[in-house]
Amino acid sequence: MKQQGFTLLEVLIAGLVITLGLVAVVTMQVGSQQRGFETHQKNLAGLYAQDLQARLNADACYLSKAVSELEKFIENNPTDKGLDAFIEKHETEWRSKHFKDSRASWKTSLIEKFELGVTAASEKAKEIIDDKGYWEFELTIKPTNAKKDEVKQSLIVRYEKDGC
Amino acid sequence: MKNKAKQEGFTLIEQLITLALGALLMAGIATSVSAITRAQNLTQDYGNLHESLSFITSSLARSTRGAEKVNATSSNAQLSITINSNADRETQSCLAKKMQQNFTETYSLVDNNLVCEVEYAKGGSTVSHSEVIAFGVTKLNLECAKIEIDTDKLIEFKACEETTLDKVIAVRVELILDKNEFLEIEKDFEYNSTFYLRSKHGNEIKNN
Repeated sequence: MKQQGFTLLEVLIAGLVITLGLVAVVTMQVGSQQRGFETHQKNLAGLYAQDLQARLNADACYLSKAVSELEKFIENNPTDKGLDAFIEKHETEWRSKHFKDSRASWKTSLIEKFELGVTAASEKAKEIIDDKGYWEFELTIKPTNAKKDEVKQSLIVRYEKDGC
Repeated sequence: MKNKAKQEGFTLIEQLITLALGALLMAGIATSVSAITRAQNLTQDYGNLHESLSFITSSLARSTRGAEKVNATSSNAQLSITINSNADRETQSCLAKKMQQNFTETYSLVDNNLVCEVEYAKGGSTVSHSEVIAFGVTKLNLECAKIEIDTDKLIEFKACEETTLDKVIAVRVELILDKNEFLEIEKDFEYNSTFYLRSKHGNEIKNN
């Protein structure tokens, strides 16, 4: 008599298709969780950048005369860079406050931005900053898990010549 | 008459294979459902945490930006900010109300909640309202930095004391957010942020 029902092969294929579907759903979920985590990290990075901005702002007295200080530093001692030391101090302090435990491996970099590059400091930098009326720093934060995205922020500190 | 003995249906082997496959599938579905639920909870935690943090930060940033006078003590973790406001230039208070007169905002911890209290004078007496800014704040710590005019020194953050208050240029707020009925996070979260008192800085420079 002619048999009815599924053959074993059919059942296997159906199972395979369902499994594939499930795997896809789970992969999607894992992906969305990762995106969620990355978003969380980027949100935090934004808040941390805000903190660094306030820290730099608070030292505006130092920055308001730092251009001449910088000249002096470079003249007197080519290996001792006044502004670099300033930046390093702030970045280190800021890192020690935020990047503990799980965030210890986040990469950050803080650089001052003159259009002509750091080597053109002293005279040129003085002109640029006097002209613009602000210092510009660029902060890059790269969380560990972020695949390609990083958070880049321009930090602007108002410059008042001989302000303090 | 047909042969009654002729049987139809699955063989034992087929049954067993189907059962095994079904069980595997069920196990898979159960695991993924629980994993998906967990992932969704976690994502929600991140959202809640960020909402709390950014609200605290923006609230404090708005207050400190317009600060005329700061009164902070590290020992009892209280930050009072006096803000000038008048009918021509209304400033919003931390309770999101536009103020017609000068007012003082005080941030402090009350029963593990970060509370902002607004005080202002009205008809000879002082009126005060307060509202919770963030729930589940278990620790609040304040540090002040004073402006250093005519020195090469960089600013330093120290405990806020009465003696430094006139020259405070920036306040650092440290807090710990912990799990509570409105914020479901697995681990407590330590956060700190620095706030720069722009209007005070301007005055210091001009007066110098």
